[in-house]
Amino acid sequence: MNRRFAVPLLIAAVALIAGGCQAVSLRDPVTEQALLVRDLYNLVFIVAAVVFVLVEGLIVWSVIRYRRKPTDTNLPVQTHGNLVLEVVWTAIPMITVFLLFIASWNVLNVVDARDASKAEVKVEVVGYQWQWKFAYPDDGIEVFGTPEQNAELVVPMGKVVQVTLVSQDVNHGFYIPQFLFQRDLVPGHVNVFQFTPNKLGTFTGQCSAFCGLMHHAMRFTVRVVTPEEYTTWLANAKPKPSPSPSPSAIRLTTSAAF
Amino acid sequence: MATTAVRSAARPRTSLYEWLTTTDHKKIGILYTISSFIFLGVGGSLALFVRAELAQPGLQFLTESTYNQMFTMHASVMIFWVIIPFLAAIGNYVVPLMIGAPDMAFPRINALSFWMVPFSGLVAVSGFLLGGAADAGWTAYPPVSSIKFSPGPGMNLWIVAVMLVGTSSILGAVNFMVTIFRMRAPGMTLFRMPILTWTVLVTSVLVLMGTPVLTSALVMLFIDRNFGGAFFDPALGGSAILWQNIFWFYSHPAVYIMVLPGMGVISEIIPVFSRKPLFGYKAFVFATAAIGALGFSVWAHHMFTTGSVFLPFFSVMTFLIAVPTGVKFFNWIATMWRGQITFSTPMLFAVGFLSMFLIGGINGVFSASVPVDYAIHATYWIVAHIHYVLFGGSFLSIMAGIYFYFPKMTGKMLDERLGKIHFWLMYVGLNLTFLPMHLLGLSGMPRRIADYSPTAGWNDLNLAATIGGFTIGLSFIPFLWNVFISLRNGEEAGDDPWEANTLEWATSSPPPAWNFDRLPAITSERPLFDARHGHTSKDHE
Repeated sequence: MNRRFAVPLLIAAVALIAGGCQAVSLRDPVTEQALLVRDLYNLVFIVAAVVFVLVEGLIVWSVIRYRRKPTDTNLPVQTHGNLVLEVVWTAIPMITVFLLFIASWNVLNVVDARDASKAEVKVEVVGYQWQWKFAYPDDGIEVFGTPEQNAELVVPMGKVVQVTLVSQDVNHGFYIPQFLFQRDLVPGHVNVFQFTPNKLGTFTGQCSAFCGLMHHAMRFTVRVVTPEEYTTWLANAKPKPSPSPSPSAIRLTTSAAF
Repeated sequence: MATTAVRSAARPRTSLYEWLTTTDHKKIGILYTISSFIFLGVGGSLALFVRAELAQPGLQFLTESTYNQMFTMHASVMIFWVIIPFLAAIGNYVVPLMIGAPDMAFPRINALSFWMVPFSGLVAVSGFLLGGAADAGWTAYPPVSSIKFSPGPGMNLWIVAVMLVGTSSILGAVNFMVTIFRMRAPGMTLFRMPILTWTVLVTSVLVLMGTPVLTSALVMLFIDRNFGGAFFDPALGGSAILWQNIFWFYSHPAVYIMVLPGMGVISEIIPVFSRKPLFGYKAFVFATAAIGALGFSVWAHHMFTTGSVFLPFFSVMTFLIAVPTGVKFFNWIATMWRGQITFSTPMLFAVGFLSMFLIGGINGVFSASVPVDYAIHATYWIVAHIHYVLFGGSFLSIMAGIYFYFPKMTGKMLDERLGKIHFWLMYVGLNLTFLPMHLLGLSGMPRRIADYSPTAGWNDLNLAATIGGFTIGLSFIPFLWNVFISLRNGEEAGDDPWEANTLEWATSSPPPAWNFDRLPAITSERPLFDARHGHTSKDHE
């Protein structure tokens, strides 16, 4: 190939591969648990990519290499099978998926670990058509979402947060893409999970389990703040004994309004 | 004299009356095909409405209510009234011919099975005209599908329609099993049956085991909705999770019901166009049986995020079911290996199936890993996965089968050039539609949403998917034109235009009502190949 084209082609190829890898990765993880999920996804992806390239390569090779030529009047060799080959290509995938299962299992034990005694912040998430309520039962705080102002869950960085999921009507899904995690809210069944945020910022989330007419509008945000900011936020958000409205930017109401 | 009078009064064989009352498996197969294409028009249009709405953020064409009805009915129509009946079409037409039988075992039940399909489909679709079709997703999870949250008539119509189409499947499954076990020609032992017949047999077992379970769930949902039952109402002691368990006990095997006969079609086409026998015939049969058996042990991977599932069992089984499918891929590739491949349109679709179903197999394994499933469940990744399985897999295999068997069904060849245009438009369109959905899923777009935030970064990928969707729609124009001109002026097919291996090509195109005047000797799984080239020693005895 002409060298004039080789360099730009090479750059383009590298850019394409780099861009492709960027595109096929999960969102940047923002919890301790999510870091493990991201690594596990990358492992599965690499195995998947190898299998894909291998098998797709064999398909492409076969259809290019073994096209019938005008000179092919005699039949090709009539191969009916090969026991050794068939045992090998059964055993290797079986070992591969078993190893992937072990790797998944190890990560799952961390992601699904629930130790109530370690929980430093406890929040209750209530889903209902078509909004969220985030409650901090220990501090008497309740945050309600509205169509104009999505509910915001405020949590301190580096602390173990325990979430209790309750549905008031139909199934909902508590899903934050950057947590690389979701868990369903099922009526009649309370789900609990824990996470430890490790990045400051505001992260969007939305309902992932189809819940009826306005399913798409059931959005919320999670804001991870420093422990100091969290203490300040708690103090401001706590319902005041006086009837004056809260100065906080988030809309706060009492459970009576719900 | 009276007999003669009656006979001469009978209409010619092609009259409308004959088609409406036929019990001939070949005509019923063609009727299944026509019905499936009509519902494909319905289900495809619904998909295009959905894609048009999602092309950009904001609601442009639909309301939330119509959007929810459309995505629900798109999936329902495509699964129950397009893919399953299409495969029933191929099975009906081909299986009795393949095993050298004159018809199905129960021809009248066969006609009943068929007529239940379009009628049940009309019942389901009629919701659009009667105040709103079903709108709870094709999975119809209660409580969203309960009378309180889905009060319209559509949900009841949907339940009744799915029960009817399920009954049709059960009757068809019994018919196939009896036909295959009792009506094989002399010499056609089980291990000389064509792979397509094997896959139809295993599929029939799955239908027989799974569909009654789905029907029981539908009955319970109907009682809950209309007679005050509480099977799925936790407030009254029922369980919302119960529905998911019963529903997926059928609906996961249903994926194999929709894929196994397609794999059978591919396993007939690849050897013919490679001029080689299928590599590892017995391994292929066992892999099919293994998929059928394992298929009933993986249903709860649809429920990993509910927190009500015994995770290790369903995770490891879901991983394992990838293995027999992988074995089949190697068998298909080894069949092409050192063969002499001709790219007629059926082979083009068959190789399209290989390259696309591979993606649908691999991107499904991600969900077997429970923590990864937590990240991608209910996102567009899953939408991409199911479409690479059901479109890239099932549907491409159906199109391969239609191009392959059209000459047998009609006696005319389809035009190769139009067939290739059809293939490439569809192939490009399907990848343009469904590849971007992986990225949408990874970046967090949930499925089943009518609208999305313009700042979420999903605009371009959604627009690409919409353009791809309409490209797929466009690809049917050359196909329909091809069918039209080929039926009128197509080249005569003759008995065996592809130099094929199996009995259906030993009779005329189209075959007479009784199928065969005489059968060749059956001493292997390739009786026609043997008749043409002599028996090769290693064929299965």
